[in-house]
Amino acid sequence: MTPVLRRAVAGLLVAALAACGSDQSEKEGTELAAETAKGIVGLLPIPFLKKGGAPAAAPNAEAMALSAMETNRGPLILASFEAQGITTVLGMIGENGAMRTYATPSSQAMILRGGILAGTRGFGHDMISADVAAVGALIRGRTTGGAAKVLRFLDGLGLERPLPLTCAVRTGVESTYPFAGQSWTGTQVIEHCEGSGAVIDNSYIVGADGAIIASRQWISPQLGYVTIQTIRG
Amino acid sequence: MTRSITHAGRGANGQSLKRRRRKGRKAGMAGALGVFSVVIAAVPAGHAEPLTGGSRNTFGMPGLIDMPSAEVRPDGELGLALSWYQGGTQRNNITFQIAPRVTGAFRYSRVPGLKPDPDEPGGYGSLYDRSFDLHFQFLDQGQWAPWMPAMAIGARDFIGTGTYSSEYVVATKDILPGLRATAGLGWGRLGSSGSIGNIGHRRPSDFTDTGGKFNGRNLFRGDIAPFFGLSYALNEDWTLKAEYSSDSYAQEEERSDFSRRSRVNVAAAYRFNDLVSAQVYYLHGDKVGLQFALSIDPKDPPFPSGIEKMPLPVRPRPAPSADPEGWSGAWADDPTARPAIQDALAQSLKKDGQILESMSLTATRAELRVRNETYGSEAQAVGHVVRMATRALPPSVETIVVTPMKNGVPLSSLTFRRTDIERLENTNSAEIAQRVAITGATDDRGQVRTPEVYPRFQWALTPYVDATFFDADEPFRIDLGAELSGRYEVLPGLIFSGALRQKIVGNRDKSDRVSDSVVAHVRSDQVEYDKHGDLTIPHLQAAFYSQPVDDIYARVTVGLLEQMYGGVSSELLWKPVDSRFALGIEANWVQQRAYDQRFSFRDYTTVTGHVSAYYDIGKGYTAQIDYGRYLARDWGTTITLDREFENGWKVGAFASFTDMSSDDFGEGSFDKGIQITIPIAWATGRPTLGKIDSVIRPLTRDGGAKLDVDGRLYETIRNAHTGDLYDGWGRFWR
Repeated sequence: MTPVLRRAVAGLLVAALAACGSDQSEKEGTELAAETAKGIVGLLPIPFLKKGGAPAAAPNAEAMALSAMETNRGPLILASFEAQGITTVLGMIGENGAMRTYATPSSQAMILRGGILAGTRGFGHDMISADVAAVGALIRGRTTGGAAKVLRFLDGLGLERPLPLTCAVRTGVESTYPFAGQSWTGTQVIEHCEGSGAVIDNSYIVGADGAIIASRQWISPQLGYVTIQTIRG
Repeated sequence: MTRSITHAGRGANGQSLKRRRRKGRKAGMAGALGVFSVVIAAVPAGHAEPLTGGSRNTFGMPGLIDMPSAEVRPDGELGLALSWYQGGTQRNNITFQIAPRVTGAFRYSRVPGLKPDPDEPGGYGSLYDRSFDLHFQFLDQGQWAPWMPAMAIGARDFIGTGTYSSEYVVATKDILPGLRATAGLGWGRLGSSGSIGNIGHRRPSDFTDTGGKFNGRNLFRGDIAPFFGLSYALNEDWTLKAEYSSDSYAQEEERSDFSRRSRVNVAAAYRFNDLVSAQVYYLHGDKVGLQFALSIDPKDPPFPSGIEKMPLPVRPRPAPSADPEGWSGAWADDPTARPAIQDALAQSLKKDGQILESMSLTATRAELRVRNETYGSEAQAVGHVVRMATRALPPSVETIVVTPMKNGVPLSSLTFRRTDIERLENTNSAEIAQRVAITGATDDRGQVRTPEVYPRFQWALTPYVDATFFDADEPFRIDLGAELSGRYEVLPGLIFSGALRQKIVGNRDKSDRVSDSVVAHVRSDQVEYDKHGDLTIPHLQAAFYSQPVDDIYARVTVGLLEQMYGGVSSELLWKPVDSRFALGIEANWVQQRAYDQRFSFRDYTTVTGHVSAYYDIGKGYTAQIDYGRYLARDWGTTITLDREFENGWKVGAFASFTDMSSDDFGEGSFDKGIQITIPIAWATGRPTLGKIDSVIRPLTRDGGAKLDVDGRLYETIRNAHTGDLYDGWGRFWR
């Protein structure tokens, strides 16, 4: 190799070298450069650079739930993110009054207040908090009526932005279905919310004791709807 | 990777710009009337909405092709627009929407045929030139009557050699869906073709002048010419444009083989996505041009809420009947209780990217002194600490105090009632904000240091890139190498740090530029430093931080302080925790380092320092005024104005006016530049305190030059004071 070429190769090696050491703050720049390169490639309107391929085969929710029940003792839920096509089991890691925090194996969280989604963490476009007490009482009581609901999101500046909604709750038929080795029976409850241009249609299956057995709830504009099924209450 | 960029001017000058680690910003807390932009499809343009433009002109500004329009860019947008056209003209533009109606631009352009060629008498070569623009939309579309257009006034190249010097008043109006018409009057270059009259006399541009001065006497003087244009948005992505130009390109035609056959220019613009757009131009009847543009909205990061792991949830206390001993406080008499709790908390904070430096614990109160090494929002870091505290502290502890630490110094104290934390977990963050007491750091004598926090040694081996722009011979030079850095904290506040660099490949040593500065070469020998890349020591220093009395912070730094200077730097800062105003004083004795950047020095020594006032104006604007003595022993003032975003983005400008004459200063006449700070977490969604700090100086000369010491106090402490805390408060429960 010529000296110039040798130096160029050496330079590339340095560039390729993952930064190492104990001082995380010094390594951030290198990591960012790699991220940026990936990000720019992702943004370019060149089809063959986009990640393609067939969507991953739908996981067997039943099998996931059964396996989770074997390895965990506490309350468990199964969540399917519609837009992302991701299904995961979440285990309860915190309980504060009626509020429960469930975590995915990769440390993302969903916060439910009496079964109503009141927050997510770690998904990038999270619902940061929500006032769901009034509408939650209607839903769990399987009562037709109207109530206000406020969802909050972090905007791009990191400021908490409320989305005030007016919601109408009505009830449907009772249904029974099997899941994860159990038979589940509950009443369908429909929640229709509107506000600031947003239209949200959530639905729930509420057990005789008022517990929400399963639901399809809207998280945020980017995350869309999630379906939540109780595995172990 | 340590990134540093150098700019060499036509006069062989350069300025190293360093990345420093900085944090957050300030303003009010989130308004309750937030507009949820993604949900709301489109708000009809009300009268209070500025008219924003879909595409840029060849100067990167709102407009048609060469002509401006009365549009503005979206508020806060940072743009990079690179325009080329046949014949070798280049315009590389950085634009910023400073306020909803004010657009600014900095430009580095190549203009063929405008610079006298020293090798060929009577011949002209390409002029590499820097210029600044300002554009102000003073009237909204339909403001007083439905037929009224939006109107703007602006000046191109108003500080600089004046190559593009021109002013305009322009009106733009939507006439049919998608179709916008623009008409205006231009002065200077924009008044050079089809003149209909004149106001006074305009001094012609002198491209051999030092430039850089405000061209006040020429503004809106000389010939006036009208210009017109249309833009038609075919759909969201495609826009077609046509204009009747009032720029005659007289200088280019006179001095080179540039030709302008037509006054009509046309263009097609295409928007690939929110970030990337491009345009094709057909200019002057015979030239094809291209533009590539990036439009970055600081308010629109890829992951607004971050993709960091969830915080640990609150663990509510059991009922008193379930844990009578814990509630009684009797546990506090057990000498093993505090160490066990402190160890558990330290472990759990470590996993969260924070360090429990010390704590105190009584039966009813705990104070945790914590160094946040991870979260850009100090409020988020504190939110994690209090939740972990509920998981570790016995039930009788009702008062939880979190004291953020930086460089061994406590910055503020946040006092919470545990009951509030339990009750308000994951609610509207404004609720807990109303119940926390934020004060200056407590004087807590009961603090017990966590074992094994000090001494602390950290190191990193990283690649680095050093680039030089704006050198007329080779506008882009770059070095690539490896940097070994280390940091050793012996005691709280006493920090030794250093770095060693080895260049591996690069061409910065090929520059043959020599400084022509007639004063002491305090910065203009940048190229000489850049030529040395073998085992250099960018810095090697000891720093000591302390808080001698309440609200006063102190720093002393000794050693090789920066690439060009070593010595002693000392600083005092007065900043109460809830004050918008801060006052600092800095004094330095320094000696210039040898070009090889090891342990030897040149003969030049000086005393330099400033009195600095910092003020948070509100609405995201901050100002800093420094008065003092600069490196070249000149006295004067630096004024800095920044627009800061709550997420840590910062875009600003500065200028220094000293008693050095513009002749002594040389090209550019006085020191000025723009600075851009981008939090790395904004781009990646992953939490980190890292920021990319870029300072862009059109020219670096020796007047108005300051010492570039790391870890100045104001940026070090402000993240944990109320302004920045409240800006990031929306992330408290994140």
